Amino acid sequence: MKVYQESWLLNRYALGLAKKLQKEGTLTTAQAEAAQKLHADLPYSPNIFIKALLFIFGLIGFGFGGSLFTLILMGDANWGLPIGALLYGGGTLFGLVHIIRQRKLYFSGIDNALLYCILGSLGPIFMKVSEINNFKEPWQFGLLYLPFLLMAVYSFGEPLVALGLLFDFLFIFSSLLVKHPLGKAFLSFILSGVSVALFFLMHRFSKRRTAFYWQTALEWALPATLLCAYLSVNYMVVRYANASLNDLPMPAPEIQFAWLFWALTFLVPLLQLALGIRLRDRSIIVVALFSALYSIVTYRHFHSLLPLEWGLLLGGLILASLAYALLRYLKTSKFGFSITPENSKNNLLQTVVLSHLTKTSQSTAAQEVKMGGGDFGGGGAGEQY
Amino acid sequence: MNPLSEIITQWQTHEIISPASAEAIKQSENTRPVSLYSLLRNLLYIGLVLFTSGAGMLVYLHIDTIGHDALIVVLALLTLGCFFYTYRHSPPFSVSEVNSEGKFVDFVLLLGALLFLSLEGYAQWRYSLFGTRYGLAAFLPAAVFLFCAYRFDHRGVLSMGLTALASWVGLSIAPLEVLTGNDFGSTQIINTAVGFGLVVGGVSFGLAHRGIKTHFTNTYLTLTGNLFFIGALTGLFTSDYWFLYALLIAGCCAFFVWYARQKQSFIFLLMAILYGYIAFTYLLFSKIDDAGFWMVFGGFYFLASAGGVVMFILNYKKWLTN
Repeated sequence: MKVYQESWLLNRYALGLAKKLQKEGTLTTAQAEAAQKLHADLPYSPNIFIKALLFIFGLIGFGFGGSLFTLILMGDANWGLPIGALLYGGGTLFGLVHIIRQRKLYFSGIDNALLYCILGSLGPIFMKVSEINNFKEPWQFGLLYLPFLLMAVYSFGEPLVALGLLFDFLFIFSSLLVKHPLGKAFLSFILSGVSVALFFLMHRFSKRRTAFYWQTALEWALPATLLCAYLSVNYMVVRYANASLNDLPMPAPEIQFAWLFWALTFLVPLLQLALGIRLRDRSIIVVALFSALYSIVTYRHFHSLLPLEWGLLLGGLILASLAYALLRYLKTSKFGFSITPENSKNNLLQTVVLSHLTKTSQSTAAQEVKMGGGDFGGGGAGEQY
Repeated sequence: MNPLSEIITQWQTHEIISPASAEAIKQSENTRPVSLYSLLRNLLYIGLVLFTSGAGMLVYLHIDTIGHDALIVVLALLTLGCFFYTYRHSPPFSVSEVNSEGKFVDFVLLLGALLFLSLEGYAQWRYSLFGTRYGLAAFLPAAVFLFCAYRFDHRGVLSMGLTALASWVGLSIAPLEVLTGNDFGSTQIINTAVGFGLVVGGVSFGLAHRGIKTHFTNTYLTLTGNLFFIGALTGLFTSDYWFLYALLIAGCCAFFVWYARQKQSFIFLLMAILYGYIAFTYLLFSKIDDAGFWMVFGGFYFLASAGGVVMFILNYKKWLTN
């Protein structure tokens, strides 16, 4: 059962399209207003800060309500908590579906928070089941969760739960794989291959009209599969995982076919970049950049490439020059890419980063000039000034 | 997953657009290029920050071999070059917003400001340029950055200027450092934080009221608001004059809610409700000092108050957004 009405999502998409076309002059004001009237049945998906508020207070409400409810049922020390949590989670789910329908909520913070809490409330009963059945391995616990995560993703299409489902599946799969000697030997390749296969399966599905309900979940899960595909064959990850799986002493010893993993460590980010450009997908390009950065970290971890200061200086110079060159190159759109300014200006992020950078620089300077020492550094407020 | 055709058909059926327009929209949407604007802009910022950090480290590590004077001259020339380039290539001053965002000059000014910090710290370390007048050393970047922020209309440099100004009075307003970077055990620091928040926030609001760089107010209030609320909350928790801090918090919460509504800037609503909730809950628990009562009703209070806040936001969404 889909919890959100698909017509809300369609209307939201249509209204966004109408606004964009009106801004570009393709639709007249009258046409845009007519579209607005036609797609008036919209969900409530507020600003990120309101979402944060609803999320925080959703968690507080669920947490304290849950503790009250379980306290009442704690009479039975053995089953009180699991049954109490299950009943409370079930009741909350009922309430959540009701409030979503009544208030037309769509990823508005409170529904996300309550969904995580409901899934979390299954934990005590699963622990009890594990205890009764003498489950010793973590993947068995993950397996208990898998169908519920699947149902939650189907019903809500929530992106973080979708990531949880993906990682739970990969965790169970790799846990079972390492049980077989051959599976253990080829774990990294199989895991990478499965991630790539999942990517293409999901990508193909995402092109269908029926996938529209899960668009946000897919937007998160698709790059995540590519990141998994990279990390599975990254030299550093493989080397440490190999040591850990075979109980080898640290520092992790050299692995077989090291050259192959080194090659893949640098090749996969390039392939991801090529894929991102081919599919015209920004999120894949971002994944490729993260992978490339991690490849550099991997190389520096095992070999001295450049002193850190030179690395920062040259890396910064190359990155800034490349970004600037691309900003100029894409002034007229090429290969399906442009530099049309987007709406989000990220001013808050800029404020936070630059404020911290200034503070750090000033603190360093203050240490150099022997400022502070538990006293006021500023001349405007210190008593001795 | 794109329901474009479906929407366009719907618009056609309802005679919002003609068949020809429908085809044109489909064609343009299907070939619309993907914008890399934010990604490349952020990469440029990261590149500049990495470059200046690397340059700073290099200077400190190789100071003996490069020579102090040569380094100071290079740093000074680079800094002056950046400011001169910015001056030459910026549009003239205007009290309203001058949109140079994303343009090269925007990044050159930022680079100049970052280099200025290195230059000043380095000159003080090497030559004790300001002697023991540490206040001046802290005030100078604040003055330079605030001037540049207004002259060249740069919100990033404004946040750097405000951080430097707070350092001058002995405070940290870097958002993630407000709690750890300030010693709120001292009444003097608490009062300085509250006073700084009120005065600087008030000045920004006054300037905005006169139509001077109204788009700067969000940066001012984001940075000073956190400092004020955390300072005032600490005063509420620790001071004998708690009621004064309670009044100040109540007043500023009301102001932030009003401002959030006015400007549709909901970070202020988030701050007002969160800090207001903490203050109110603290007052309630500390003034009804009965552990037995709260053992029973504490859980109910949190459940009911959290539900109340959620219901308020859901019921008053129109009030909030209108």
